[in-house]
Amino acid sequence: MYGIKAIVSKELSRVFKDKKMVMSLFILPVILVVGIFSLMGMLIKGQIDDVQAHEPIVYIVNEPESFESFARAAGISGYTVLSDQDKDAFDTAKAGLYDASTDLIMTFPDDFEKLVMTGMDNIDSIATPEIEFFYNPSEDYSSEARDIYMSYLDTYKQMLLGNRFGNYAAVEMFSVNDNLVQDEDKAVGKMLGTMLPYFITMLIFAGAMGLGVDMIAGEKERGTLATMLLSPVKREQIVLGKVFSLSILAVMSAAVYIISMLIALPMLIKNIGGSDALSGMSINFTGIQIAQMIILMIGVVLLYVSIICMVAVFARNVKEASSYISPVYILVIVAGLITMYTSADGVFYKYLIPVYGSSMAFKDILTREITMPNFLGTTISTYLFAVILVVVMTKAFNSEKVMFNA
Amino acid sequence: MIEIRNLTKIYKLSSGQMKKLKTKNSRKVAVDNISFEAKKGEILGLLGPNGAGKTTTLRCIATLLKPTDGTVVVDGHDTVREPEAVRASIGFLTNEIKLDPQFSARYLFDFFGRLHQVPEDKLKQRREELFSYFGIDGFEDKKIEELSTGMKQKAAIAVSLVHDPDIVIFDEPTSGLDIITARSVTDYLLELKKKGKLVIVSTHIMSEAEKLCDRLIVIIDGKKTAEGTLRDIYDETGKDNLEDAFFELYRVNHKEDR
Repeated sequence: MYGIKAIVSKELSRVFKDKKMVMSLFILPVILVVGIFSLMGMLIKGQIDDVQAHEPIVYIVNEPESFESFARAAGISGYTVLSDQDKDAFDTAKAGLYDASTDLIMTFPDDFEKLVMTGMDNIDSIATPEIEFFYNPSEDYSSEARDIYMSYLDTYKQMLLGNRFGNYAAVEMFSVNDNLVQDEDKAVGKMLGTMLPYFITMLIFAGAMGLGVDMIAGEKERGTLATMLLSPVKREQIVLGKVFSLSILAVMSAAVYIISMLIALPMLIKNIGGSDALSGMSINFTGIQIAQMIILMIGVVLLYVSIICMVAVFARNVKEASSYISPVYILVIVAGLITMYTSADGVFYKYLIPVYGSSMAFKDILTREITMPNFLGTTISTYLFAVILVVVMTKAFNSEKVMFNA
Repeated sequence: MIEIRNLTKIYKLSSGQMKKLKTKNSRKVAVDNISFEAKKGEILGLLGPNGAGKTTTLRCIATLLKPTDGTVVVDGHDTVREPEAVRASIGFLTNEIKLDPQFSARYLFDFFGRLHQVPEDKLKQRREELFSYFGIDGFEDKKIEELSTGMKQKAAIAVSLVHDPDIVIFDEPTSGLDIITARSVTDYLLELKKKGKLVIVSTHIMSEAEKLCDRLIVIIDGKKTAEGTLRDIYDETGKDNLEDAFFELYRVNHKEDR
């Protein structure tokens, strides 16, 4: 144990005594995350405000009388009426869709008024008239104008239906009213469960990758690992010392990211006017949930850190280690993505698969669907794989081929 | 004491290494059936050209490499069966093994002291003694990367001796040092001998070997070609200085393109 203790304290002081390291690992991420999120919020808000403030440029061809009176009653104004005889004006307006000098053209057919005004007596002769929309979906103003006028037309349609049948309610037949009956904690847990395992995977890997490569492959390259190999400390103590110190640093750097996101995310959502989405959101964890998460989390961190250390041990130098670690990182990210969109459905053996199983278990813990056998299965499997990697690394530390390229 | 019996070390070369060495042989015999003994209270010199197998031999003693054949016993402990016990009794220094550049000499001295389980009061006493002998005491809180070459080497020597080992193995300890620093290192080795320690040094500097070593072992192409005191080696070769004697041994024993 004395060896592990001495090595952990050395590795930690390597990071914490170095101002640049502290800056890049713990302070820069906060500034970056909060900065990026605020910037994003400001830009999105600016864009939304801009679109909303914009007065849409709309042309209506062949405007029927009923629409005119509807628009007057509803206070809709700001569109230009064109006659269907005026081909030139129509072409100019249509060309304007390309350069955003026009946002929307709405064309009513000639017989529109006649068709919509036909009463119940001649019901067999009724055909559906077609209103043509011309808009440019790659222009925000144009899309927005279309959405606005579509909603006007909906109301207009209801008015016409009311006219034809005397009572709109008779036509609508029925409406649906949603009543949400759900366990709030479970709902929020489900949402968190989709994102959290993926984020944790990404953050722990990202935080530990550079440090782990330097801590092992870097020391090997600089010849400082050999100095440690000359001490009477057993190799497994050196391996464990490295794994533990890297785990501590990985958790700290992931925590920094998560805390800064927790600060920045509500700011972002508030900025873009979605604060309603946050109002009902809260989650309460039970003691068992917290205990399960901590136990599993430690195992997951040890496993990920061991994977990184393993790659660094077998690489001959930092360059090699960095190039080996990138595909591993991508694989882990892909595995994380898969877990976002799949579910283990409580099938026991799926919880035994490393990385995947623990992510699934995280989801289930958050939604309170985990069973004890599944939890134990995934925990034991995660710790077991970490132990296997540590044993392999210890073997590698004893190998002169791996340590000295001999 | 150290007993080496029929030590042989063969490296298996990868195809890349074979290309680099321009050989088609996938085996490289670095040390070929070497046997010798070294006792406490003597300075034993390993003499040989670059690539002769000196460093490999020393690394086998230090448990960093495992012999392909033969045995190495240090203070009664076999290097393969009880590597931790062997490492506890030796202090080892070589050029390729370095101190962490980001830490101060004092931090590393204490760190390795802890790995060797030196008690805190003893550790403090050792640090004061060694740092003042090698003149590191003014620089002990500077990072290794900020030290001069000579100061780095002296710090490395101090760290390798933190646990007051009975056996000291130094691989070319004066290489890259100026005369004054080199002299303080060789003087310290003589002092260690006086205290009854066993010192093994490898060198290719003849004058150093002449002045320092009680006995010499000449290694050429992985084979032991001579062993004995300076006088024994002069007698064997019929020369009156080490440089001529060494050339004579090299001429007789070295075969081109083995």
